[in-house]
Amino acid sequence: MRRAFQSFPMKKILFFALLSSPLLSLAQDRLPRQLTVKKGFYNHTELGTLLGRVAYPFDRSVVYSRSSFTANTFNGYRFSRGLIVGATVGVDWYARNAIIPVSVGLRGDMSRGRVSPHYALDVGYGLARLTRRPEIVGADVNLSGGLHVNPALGVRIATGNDTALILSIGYKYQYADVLTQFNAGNTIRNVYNYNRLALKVGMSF
Amino acid sequence: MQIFPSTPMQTLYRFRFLAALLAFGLVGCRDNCQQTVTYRTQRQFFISSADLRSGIKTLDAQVMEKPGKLYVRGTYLFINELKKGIHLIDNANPSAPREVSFLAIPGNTDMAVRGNVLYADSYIDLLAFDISDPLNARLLKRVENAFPSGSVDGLHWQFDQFRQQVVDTRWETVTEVRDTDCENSNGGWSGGWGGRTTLQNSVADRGFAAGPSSANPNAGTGTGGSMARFALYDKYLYAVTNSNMELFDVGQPGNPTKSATVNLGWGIETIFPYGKNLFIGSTTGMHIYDNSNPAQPIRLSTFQHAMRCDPVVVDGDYAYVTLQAGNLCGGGTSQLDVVDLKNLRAPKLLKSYPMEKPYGLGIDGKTLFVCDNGLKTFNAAEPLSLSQLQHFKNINAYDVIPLNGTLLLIGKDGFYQYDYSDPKALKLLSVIPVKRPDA
Repeated sequence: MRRAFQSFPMKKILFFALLSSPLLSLAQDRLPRQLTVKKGFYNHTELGTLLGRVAYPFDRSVVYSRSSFTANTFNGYRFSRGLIVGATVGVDWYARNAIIPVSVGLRGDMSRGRVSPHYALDVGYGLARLTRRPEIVGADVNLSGGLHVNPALGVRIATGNDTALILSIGYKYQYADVLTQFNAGNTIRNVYNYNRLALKVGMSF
Repeated sequence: MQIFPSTPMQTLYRFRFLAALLAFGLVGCRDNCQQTVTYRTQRQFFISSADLRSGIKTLDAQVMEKPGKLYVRGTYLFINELKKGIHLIDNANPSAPREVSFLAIPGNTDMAVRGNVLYADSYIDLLAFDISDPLNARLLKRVENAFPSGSVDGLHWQFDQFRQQVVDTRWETVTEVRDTDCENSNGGWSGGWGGRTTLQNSVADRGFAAGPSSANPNAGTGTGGSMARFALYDKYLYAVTNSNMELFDVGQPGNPTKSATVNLGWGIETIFPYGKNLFIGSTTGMHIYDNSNPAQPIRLSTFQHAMRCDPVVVDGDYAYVTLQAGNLCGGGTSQLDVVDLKNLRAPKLLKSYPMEKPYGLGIDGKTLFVCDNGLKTFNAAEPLSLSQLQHFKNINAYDVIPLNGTLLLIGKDGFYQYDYSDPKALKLLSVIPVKRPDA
């Protein structure tokens, strides 16, 4: 096991950097090895980046990188260590669309340890309310959002009895649609299917 | 299981799957965006003379899809199906019109009827049918190459002599889908569209103005709308093309022969006979011809106005002209003009009434019917102070013919008949719905 680990020096450095922060070490030292879980209100607020790529339309072998900002807050009820049920509201700023995803959310920890695997799942609808409506003379522009899916896996690192730092890697799908209807009947419909890797850091309490 | 607490490093090592996820995600996550553009464009198509001349058939009654002009003769109605033929309708009972048959005529847009003879155009040719049995119309004569070109529904066609074919265009809806880089804007496509898109409101959509119910000088002749390009007077059939008036001698009704050609200038749209005169509507004005000698109409005057569409009806000393602004018709404002015709050599604008988007119009006695955002009826006892009686907003109207107490109205949605024996309270008698193929 250890040998295998050493064969990935980059990851070793990455994880070490995250874990060796003095604050975390301090917090960890004060906590019991096994955490007890209290039922009740639970908040999990995150921000992060959505990374993706897109092929150049006229030459699919040319691929651009895309990144955009994301933030969301989950509020729910903790039934047990592994099951927290609630709702998530956020903002996702894509290049052409600014989406407010409103989702039903699940959260949970997968072990009792101070450092535990953590899962998150949000499924809902992204509202296109923040998208700037282009002004086109002689046309109506109709903005609509669509399905929003955001599963993620991460690490929950306890910083207190009820507080934790959560780092997660997830997948985010978002649909959006901009329909421009010209008065004479011609239409342009732009359909956006965002498939992004979501890297987020958040706090829970 | 570990008994001693693991080091942070060891703990994190358990989460190596996250690293795999990260690597996989970075490669695999791609945005995927498409743009779908739907627009109308003109496509050329060709019809050989042979096909044109073998396409005449009497069929069972067909559903109306894109009705054009309206013509009335006795208890029969003739409704053109744009470039396809003519619906024959038995209207003996306006409360229950009966669709009798459909006469398929390629390229047909205009018609006129006298006695049992129906005159109809078929692109380049003029046809005469015996319709004494409407279920079995019989072609009596074909005047070949009577018209070299024409405009229908805002689209121009012409005859290619060399290849012996009609070159026509039609509107097509084109849908194109392409991938985008998810950051495109709509601006890229909108350029160069203006011209094409506005053309959609074509002649047919703009509508065909309606005819009057005033006494027709020719016994046994039917009544057409004021947007008609065909008119029967005395022993002549007058057919206006874009720039000419072609006269056909119909002294023997079943044997029309080409007679004189009168040059009218460009932009001719309609011909409307009234009394001993011909009123010819063009995009730039209304020409008034003296038709005392039906073989040789003489121009008396031209009532000029701005470049706009102008269906005309005439009643007594007054002409009513609707001017629709925009689209093919040019700029300006939409209005209804009342023109004084006391001196036919010097017609005079008396008054203009503002309109919303007027199409055809018709007059019977003191009641004026105007297709303007539905149907409006006016009391025209005093042409200088028209008063609106009723406004039906929930119908799409572009052509009306008031005839003996029954108003015939055609629009995109259907063919309507109203009883107007009480001009203040029109009564709907019947509707034949239009079924658009794309609806």
